[in-house]
Amino acid sequence: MSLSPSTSKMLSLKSSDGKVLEVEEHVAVLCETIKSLVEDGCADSPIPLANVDGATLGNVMEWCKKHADQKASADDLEDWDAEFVERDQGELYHLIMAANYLNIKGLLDLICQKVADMIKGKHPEKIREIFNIENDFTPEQQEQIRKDNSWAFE
Amino acid sequence: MMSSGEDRSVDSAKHLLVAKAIAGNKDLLREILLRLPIKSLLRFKSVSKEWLSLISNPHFAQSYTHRYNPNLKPSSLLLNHQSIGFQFVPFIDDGDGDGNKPKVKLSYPDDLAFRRPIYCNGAIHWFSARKTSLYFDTPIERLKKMPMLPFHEGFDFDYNVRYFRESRGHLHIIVTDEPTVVEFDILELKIGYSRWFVRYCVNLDAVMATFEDVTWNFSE
Repeated sequence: MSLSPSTSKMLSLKSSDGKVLEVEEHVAVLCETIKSLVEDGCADSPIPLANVDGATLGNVMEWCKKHADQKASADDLEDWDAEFVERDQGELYHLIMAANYLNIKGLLDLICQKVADMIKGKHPEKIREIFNIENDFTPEQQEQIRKDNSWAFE
Repeated sequence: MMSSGEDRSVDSAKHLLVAKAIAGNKDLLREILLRLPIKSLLRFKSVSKEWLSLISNPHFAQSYTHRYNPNLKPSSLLLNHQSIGFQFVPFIDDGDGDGNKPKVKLSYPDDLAFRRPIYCNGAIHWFSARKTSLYFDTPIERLKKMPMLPFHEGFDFDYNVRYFRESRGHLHIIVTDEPTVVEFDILELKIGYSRWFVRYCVNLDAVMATFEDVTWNFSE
């Protein structure tokens, strides 16, 4: 089976909310999850993607399309990526889950870095708020961690 | 950038769930934490017991170190001597069976200044304000030219290199025409060595005014 652009056929992808997206095969196979389906001849049409909503799937495929473009230079892609991740937190979180589920390493790297840039330097309390995490330390344990890593808390 | 055509009034409760899902997915969380600066990482030990155990895990520490120093093991030697010139000497078996790869003698411009090398992304870089700036691409064992700074004709050749270092996989440089100037640009080299571009514009005036009593030393 050839995955080159010239012979690329169309694949139908169905999102969790029932939207169907037609995508060129050479674009969709940037998702390792879809690539293995195609290679195993299991790419039933449409491919159901139970964990990705339609809007997010659209964004993911926009990224794949750009990165499948052989003519795009590394420079060009870097600028394009920087703009691509200028989104609100909600969209980014959906993208990261989708990139993880669809197994797209490049996109996952990009968004993990973006999220890291967003949360770096923040107070641990703010982090708990962002990720809805419960503080399960006693005040004494908390104090001990602060002491052990005092320079980081200055 | 186009945002999704989706209704913008997406409910925040749903986002909170996704954020919670990320925090609950150890693989994803690990990938994000690996990309944090060390200070944030240590602070975040106090977020929760799960975060503490993840960050304190020796495997995590190893991955973190490896990420920023991908070539911890020495694999070769660069020799530069007046009589023999510049040589690349690999001394570890690279896996293809020939443990004794020959030394590679490299040709380079006569005016090359081999001073203060900076290692970044598998290559060693020598920047020179007045001579040819080169880098040694370790995987392909070749010397290549680095791009010129963008404002070359604006400066006479007497500018000062105030800073030339690597940070998280990027090379940065600060050059100014006078050693005491407080307003300057930080240039970054594009991945792929196509060109330098202005990454940050810095003006230290306000800082200096605030801390009048401090003695400022601008030498590296």
